[in-house]
Order: sequence, then structure tokens, then C-alpha cells
Amino acid sequence: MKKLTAVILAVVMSVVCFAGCGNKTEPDNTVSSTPASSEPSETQPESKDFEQLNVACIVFSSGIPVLYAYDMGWFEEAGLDVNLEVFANGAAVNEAIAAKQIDIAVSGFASVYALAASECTWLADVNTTNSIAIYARPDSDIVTASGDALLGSAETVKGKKIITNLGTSSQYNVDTYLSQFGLTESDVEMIHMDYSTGYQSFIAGEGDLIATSNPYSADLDAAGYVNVGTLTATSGISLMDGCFARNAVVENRPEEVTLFLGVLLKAMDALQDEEVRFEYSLDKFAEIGNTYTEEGLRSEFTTTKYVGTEFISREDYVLGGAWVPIAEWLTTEGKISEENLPNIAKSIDGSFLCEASGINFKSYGE
Amino acid sequence: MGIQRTQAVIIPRMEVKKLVKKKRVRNTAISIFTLLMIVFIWWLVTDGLHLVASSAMASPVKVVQTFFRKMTDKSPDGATLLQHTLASLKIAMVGYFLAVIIGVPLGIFMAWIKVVDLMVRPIFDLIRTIPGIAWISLLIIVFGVGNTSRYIVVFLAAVVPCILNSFSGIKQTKDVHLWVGQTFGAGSRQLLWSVAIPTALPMIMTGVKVALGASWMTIVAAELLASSRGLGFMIQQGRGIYRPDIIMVGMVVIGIIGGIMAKVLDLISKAIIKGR
Repeated sequence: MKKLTAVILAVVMSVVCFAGCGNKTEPDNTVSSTPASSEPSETQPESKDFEQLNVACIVFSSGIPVLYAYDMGWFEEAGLDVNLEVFANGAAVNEAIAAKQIDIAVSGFASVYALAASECTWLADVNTTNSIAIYARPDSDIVTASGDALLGSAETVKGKKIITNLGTSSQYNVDTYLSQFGLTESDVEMIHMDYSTGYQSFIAGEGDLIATSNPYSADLDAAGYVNVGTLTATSGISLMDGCFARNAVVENRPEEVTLFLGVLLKAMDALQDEEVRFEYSLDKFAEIGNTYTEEGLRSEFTTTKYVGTEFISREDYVLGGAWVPIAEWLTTEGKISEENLPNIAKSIDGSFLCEASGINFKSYGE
Repeated sequence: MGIQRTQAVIIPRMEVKKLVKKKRVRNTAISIFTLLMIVFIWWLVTDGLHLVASSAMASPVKVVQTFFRKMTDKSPDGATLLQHTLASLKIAMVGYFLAVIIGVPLGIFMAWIKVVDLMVRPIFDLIRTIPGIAWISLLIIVFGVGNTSRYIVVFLAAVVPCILNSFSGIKQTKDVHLWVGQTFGAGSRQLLWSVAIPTALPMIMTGVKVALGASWMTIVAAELLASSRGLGFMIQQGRGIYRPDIIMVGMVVIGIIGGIMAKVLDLISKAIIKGR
């Protein structure tokens, strides 16, 4: 009896092991684009056997156009076989890129590290990021200090506890904010937390200031906390979230990259309609684990704009313009080495999006 | 036919010592060789055959270079390796000693006094499977963003083996030994101190050793809580800025210090339970 039990257990464990190690079908945050029909429709381009394109996005606004395009079936229509994965943050995307599990990604500030490593090419901007900001409590002495775009002074900011996510655009926001008053990080107490934990701590009464991003910025705005300085106001730079791909993919699969960018641009154009964007985003954020209130989401629309055809048609538009000054600051912080700094400018290439859109715009360095 | 008698071989004491020493040297050599082979395979995969990109996994050469550079360089995370290590040790040791001071007596009393067991066990069974990282949000709300929350995350990880092993050790006391004590007129307290606890000591020390490992391993989770220093913080920062070399330096240092602490505890354990 004991032997029989042992054999049965061994068989069950083996089956479970093989099932766990086997090919994945539909994991929670992974969606795959499989054609509904094998016969091309009249609207489909000439069918080609493209390999599966592994695409990553993050659970923030930058991911919405990709998710929208996927749900509308536009990748499929363009002949692309897209496997879409949603990540919690840019660091996880970078790890997947380094492991060659992801071909194209739509991500934020963390993308600069992938560009500095000279492994990726920046292909398109997706959205502005004026939601990156520092907030204070309404009754804080910082709020009462004078300022137009920036609130605060050296006396009121010095010695404050600032909750921030170190190594991200929020830290950059804090450093540039402090520099406006002749202060540095050593003049304040920096408390490192990820965005969600930092938000919970701040509203629970911890810290004097918080440097954060959406959806937390939108929620803080809606709850009456005071924005003392956005990243754009403190740094003079308009940071954009956007799309980048592994160099091997850019070199070996240029047609797919161009098709992908064409679909992405189509989605960004569609989401210029605020009602379309609102209806889709509210449900989608909840689905991917990033809960917005209706008020918070509406507030985000004022700070986070999708790029779209009209945006890249502007005469003064330059792809990737923010990355080099940001990378220069990161080099002074020791987060990017001096030898890798030139890789940033070399990694920006707008030619694929120019071809996809039919619009000629400049990339940084041209 | 018949019983074959073997002749006893008397080996001189000096020869025995030589044999033991030879065996120890051979065992050490095997361990060192295994470690060197792992490092060699690691180098082969990274710098040797370039099977893995340097952005995905740093080579052993790069890790060693970063290790020595971090001894004096505060960038890119704001503190040197020694500062990070001391910060982590402080969090780990406070949480660990709290766990031992509370967990061991609690486990003993749960095993010895039925009422205590009935009162504590339901809560203990509930919390023992909750990972430290899940406590973060609650701890911040209750205790704020200071060190207290981090001590508690480590404490929760370390107290479980302390309680479990102390409980099991006391329960494993042979009834015969207790009966003998009772026969000689020993009361409950005397039986506990003179019979049960000495019997349970090896199990208790095992729990204390396991708790040390658990507390050290929980550092990374604990330092997600509002840290600006620590090996877990350093690893998190390395992850955020695409620096696998910093991540691996953190992992190696955590491993080395964990090994040293385990060895020290081993020696203490042997001294305490010697002859039992």
C-alpha cells in the first residue's frame, strides 16, 4: 500500500512539474494576438509570416495606446502577431529586454538606462509627463511661500522629509526643485519608497513632501494636496514616455517595427478624443491593477497628453530631446557612466516613425 | 568453516591524527574546487563565450571590480558598501534578537502550558504563512516610516522558526525522563528547567540558526520600507538603474555575511549543547 501511494504521489508530482514547465497559454497579464481567421480580409495588407513580436508596456498612461490598439485588433489587421505583456514598472521591462524576452517596449524614465547600455533604440514619443510633480499638504509652510510655477523657499524646504522613488524621474524632479532654492539632497531627508507605498504613507501623515507620478499625482490633486513643482517647471525639460526596441529587432525586423509604430500612432490619434480615452482607460486601468477615480483620471488628462500625428507635425518637434540632459544629470549622480553617456544620443532614431507616418520630423542630434 | 575472527588493528595516535587532517584537507579542497568551478562557469557564460549579455548578468570580473569600487564610492546609491552592510546588519540583528528573546520562551511555554498554546496557536498559525513583504503597507500605517517597521518585518520572519523549534523540542522530551524527575519529587518548574529545556536545547539552537537565516534573507523585503541605506536598498537601486553588477555585489555580500553568521552561531551552539 505504501509503495502504491508513493508511486501515485510521484506520478502526480511529475505531472504537475511538467505542466508548470510547459508552454504558457494565457498568463494573467499576457495577451496574445491570434488571427480570428486565417483568410486575409480586404482591409488587411498583404499577409506575411512575421515572427511573434513580444511587446511590453507598463501599468501607466503610456501603456494605454498599445493596449487600445491590441484590443481593437489593429495589430492583427496590420499583419503583426503581437504578444503583449504588462509590467509593473520600467525596471522590470529593462530586465525583460536584457533577457531578450521583449522586442519592443513602451515605457518611461527607466528607458534611459536601456538606451545608455547601447542595446536599444528610441523610436517614438508616446505621451507627455507633466504629472510628475512634488506635492505638499495644504497647511504646509511651503505652500504659503511665494512662487509662480514653484512654491517654496530655501527656508521652508530645508530640513523637510521628502518621500520619493530614488533612481526615477521623481528623484530628478526633487533635485531640480531643490536646486531652484540653492539646496541639494543633503539639505533635506530623502525617504525612498515605491510610488504606491509612498502615496499610502504620505496620506497617512508621513513625510512633508512627496515626489510622485500618476495615478497618485491625479489622486493627490483631487484630494486637495498642493502641487509645488512639476518636473517640467523644475527642470525646464519636457520628459516623454515612449517606445523603444532592441537593436537586434530594429536591424533584423524593420518592417515589423514600422508597422508597429504605424498602429501605435493610429491608437494615439484615436485617444485624442477624451471621451474615448476616458471610457477605455477607466476600465483598463482597473483591469491591469491601477485604480483611478473618475476625478483623478480626468485630472490626468490635463497633464498627460498623447503625442499623435498633430504633435509630431509641429515644426519645433524633436524626438527624444529630453533624454540627453536627463542622462547628463544621471551621470553626475553616478547612475550612468561617462563612457555610456554618448550612447543616449546615438540611440534615438525617428526614421521608422517618419516612414510609418509620412511626416518628416527631426530626431535629437540631427 | 566456523566463525572467522578478525584481528584488531591498533593504529598509532599520530597516524589517526594524520588521517583526520588529510581527510579535512581533502574535503576543503573539494569545496574550494567546486566554488572555483562555479565561478569559472559563470565567467565562461559572461565574459568567455558571451552567452549572456553584460546588461543581463555581470561577469565575475565586473562584480569584483564593483565590489572594491563600492568600498569607497558612494555613487550611484548614496552610500558605500560598508555603510550599506552596517545598516542592514543593524536592522537584521535587532529584528533577530527580538525574535529569539520573544520566540524561544513563547515556544517553550506553548509546549509546556496548555492554556498558552490554546491562546497563542490560532494567531500564530494565521500569521506564520504571511510573507514579510505583505506586511509593509500595514506596518507603515501603524508604525510610520522609521526603523520600527523594518525591525518588525525581520522579527516576523525570524520568530516563526524560534517558536516552532522550541515548541517541538519541549514536546519531544521523553515521558520517562519526566517520570523519573517526578519520582524524585521535582515540581513543574524544576522539570521544565532541569529536564525539558536541556533536552530541547539542540532543537532550540536549530531554530535559532534557522531564524538567523530567515532574518538575513528578509533584509531585501524590509528595506523596501523607506530605506536610504542597506544591502536590500542597494540591490533595489541596482535593479532600477540597470546595474546587474551592483545587484550581484549585494547578493554576494548577503551570502558571505550570512555564511559567517551561521558559522559563528554553529560554534556557539556546539559550546552550549556540548555533552547533551
